[in-house]
Amino acid sequence: MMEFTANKSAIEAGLYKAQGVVDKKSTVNILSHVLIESLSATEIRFTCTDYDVVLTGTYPAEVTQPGKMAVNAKNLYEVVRMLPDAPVQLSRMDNHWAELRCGSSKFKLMGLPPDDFPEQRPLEELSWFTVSKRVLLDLIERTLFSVSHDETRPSLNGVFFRAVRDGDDVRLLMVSTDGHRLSKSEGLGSDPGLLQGGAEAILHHKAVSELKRCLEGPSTDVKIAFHRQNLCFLADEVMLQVRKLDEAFPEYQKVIPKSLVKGIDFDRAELTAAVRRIATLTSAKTNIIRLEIKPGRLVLWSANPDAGEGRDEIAIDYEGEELVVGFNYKYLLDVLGVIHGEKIVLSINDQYSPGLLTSPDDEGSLFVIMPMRL
Amino acid sequence: MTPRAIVHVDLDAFYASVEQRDAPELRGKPVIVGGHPQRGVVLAASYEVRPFGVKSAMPMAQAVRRAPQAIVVPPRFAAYVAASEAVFGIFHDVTPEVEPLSLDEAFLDVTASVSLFGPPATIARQIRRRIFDEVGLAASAGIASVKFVAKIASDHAKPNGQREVPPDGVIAYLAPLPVSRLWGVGPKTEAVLLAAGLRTIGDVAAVDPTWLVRTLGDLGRHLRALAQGHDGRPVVPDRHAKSVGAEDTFEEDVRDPARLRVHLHAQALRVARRLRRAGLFARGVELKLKFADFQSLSRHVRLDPATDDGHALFAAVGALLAKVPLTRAVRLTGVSAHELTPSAGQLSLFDAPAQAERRRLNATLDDIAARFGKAAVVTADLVEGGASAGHLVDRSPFALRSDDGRGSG
Repeated sequence: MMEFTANKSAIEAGLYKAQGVVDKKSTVNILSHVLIESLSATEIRFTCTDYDVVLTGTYPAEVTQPGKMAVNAKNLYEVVRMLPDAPVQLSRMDNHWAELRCGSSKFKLMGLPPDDFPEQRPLEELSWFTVSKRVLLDLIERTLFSVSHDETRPSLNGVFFRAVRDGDDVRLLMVSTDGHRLSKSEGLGSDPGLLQGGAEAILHHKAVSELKRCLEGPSTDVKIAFHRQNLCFLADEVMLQVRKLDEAFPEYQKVIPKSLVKGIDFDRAELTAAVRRIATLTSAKTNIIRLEIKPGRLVLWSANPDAGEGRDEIAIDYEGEELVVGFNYKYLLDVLGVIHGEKIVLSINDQYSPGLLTSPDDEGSLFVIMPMRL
Repeated sequence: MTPRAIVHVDLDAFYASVEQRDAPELRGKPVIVGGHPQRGVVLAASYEVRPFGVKSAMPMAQAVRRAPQAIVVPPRFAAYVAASEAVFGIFHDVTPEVEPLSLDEAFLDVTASVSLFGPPATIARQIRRRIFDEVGLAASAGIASVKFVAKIASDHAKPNGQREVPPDGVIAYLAPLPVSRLWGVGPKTEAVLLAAGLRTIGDVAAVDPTWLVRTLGDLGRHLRALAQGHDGRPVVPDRHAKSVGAEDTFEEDVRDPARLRVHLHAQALRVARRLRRAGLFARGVELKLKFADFQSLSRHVRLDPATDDGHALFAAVGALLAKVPLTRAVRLTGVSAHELTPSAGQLSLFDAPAQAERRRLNATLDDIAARFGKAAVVTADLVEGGASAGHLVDRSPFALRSDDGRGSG
């Protein structure tokens, strides 16, 4: 049997991070449960998993009876978040249910035998390197949006990670593509530990979203380790262990255009506003807008057979040949929303070839977008 | 609304005429296009063999008994598609408002072409002359202000003729025709009408409309409108269609997946060509199978990126076919493109060079087809399949979905 008392806020924080991992649809499946174990008289550990991701969190508690229990994570979270900020006592009942007491509140929550929980093999000694949360969140923000959600293309369902030792630094690269566009962003980490050469992994976009959730916390850094089939993240009291996608990431270097003829300079805010205006009339089916790039000006045009058409114009710094190209406006706005800096450069060869978006204030990042046929 | 000028063009004894065109020794002779002399059905009968009572879709054994002297030739799918392509090219020279019904039949709305080319009857004559001069086939045409009257008129004009029914002559023209000529009247409805003493379209036009509606519901309302010469259906060209499809009924049921694939390939190429002509791209494609027991099955898959490329359509329906357990023989296959969009869609990052190549290839093939007919260049499997496996059955004349049909927008 098990019994402990812990702070409401600690339990709530741990359960919040678990919500992304557990299976919320089923109430009887063990994967919808959080495993709570006592580690010592003063520490408990939460574990939840969907097999691809294992999340563990260690929290201070007063353990009055050591042991473990498995409680439906969603139900427990919904109850705990409504409790007053007071000590919470949880004890396991004979039928594996959990009894919760807090102040005047008392709940009985469905549970399952904790031994049904998938066994977690202890990890060997891990070799961590360090990245600031800000850098990692920046990398995620600039790559996660262009992952493919088409489950028939599993190699594109994830974000590609690569960590390379660079003296006493670690260069961390993230790349994603949905087959129509590609985002690549690079940042610096430190304390390379045992990291030699480079290490790679593809992480499913769901796992990356869970990682984002786990980065919400007071500490400024996150530790990362490659471990066999997993990539592990340690931040605050939580460890996220993510299974790599067993897929070959496409050869992304090949589709990043190298020699580009036309480079067009934009003001980010101006371009964003013009694209948003013109996009109101585009066909919802295609999201296409037409860009007519002319010396000194850019004409934006869109039409929808059911609604009408629109035209807008902004001044640009460009003196080359005229080019007419179609783009999915959402792809443009996605990039304009995450790229750093106010000056944006679009480089392109012709209407059938990939366009490259970069910013002098965002040297580690580049964004490739394929045009749409007009 | 100004009255429309609608022309219905229908090639005469299409497959048989192509055979007679290509083999001079068949000209003037009774020709049956069909497959197996015992198990197959008649795909087309030349005019010379029709007096013996040989009709399309009749079992071959019966046809050969009725006309033992008839010359039976196997169908040549590729040649029919090529002829059809050339004929539709002529239609599109006259107007973009072409609604294909099948390989050999279409509605044209020539209302806007009158100022350019003259009265509708003159346009019809020019079209028929060009089909004869350029494709070597006889066509008949019906001209009227509504579709269903134009359709009946072209039938009355056969062979090799044309007939115009002026707007003020429609009711008189329809009145003596049997009720079975009304669109929507099958054997069951016909029996109901005959039992009530209504033999002709004129009888239906004159009967108390409340009786029609009470007896037949919405169909009754529809029949009354038709009987009085009202048919609101517009000519819907592919570019306004919700879907574009091709279907073939085989003359013999097919079990062999390899042969089914040949048909699907040909159908995918036909659909893609029509998409390109209409400037459309498909975001979805559907495979349809009808089995020997008349049960149907359809499977749909989304296409990303949207495509107007026949090979992409074929790859998608081929993959769908591979997932269907073929426990029964198949009597019909169909390929249809859905979720049509006028802009091409998103180019793909990883096969950009291959896409550019295909774009050039398709443009070149379309150009060759426009100049020399579609048979000028075909893929290898179609050359083999076209000679032996391309068995098409003439559809019922007013089928809503015939050989090359589509949903209207």
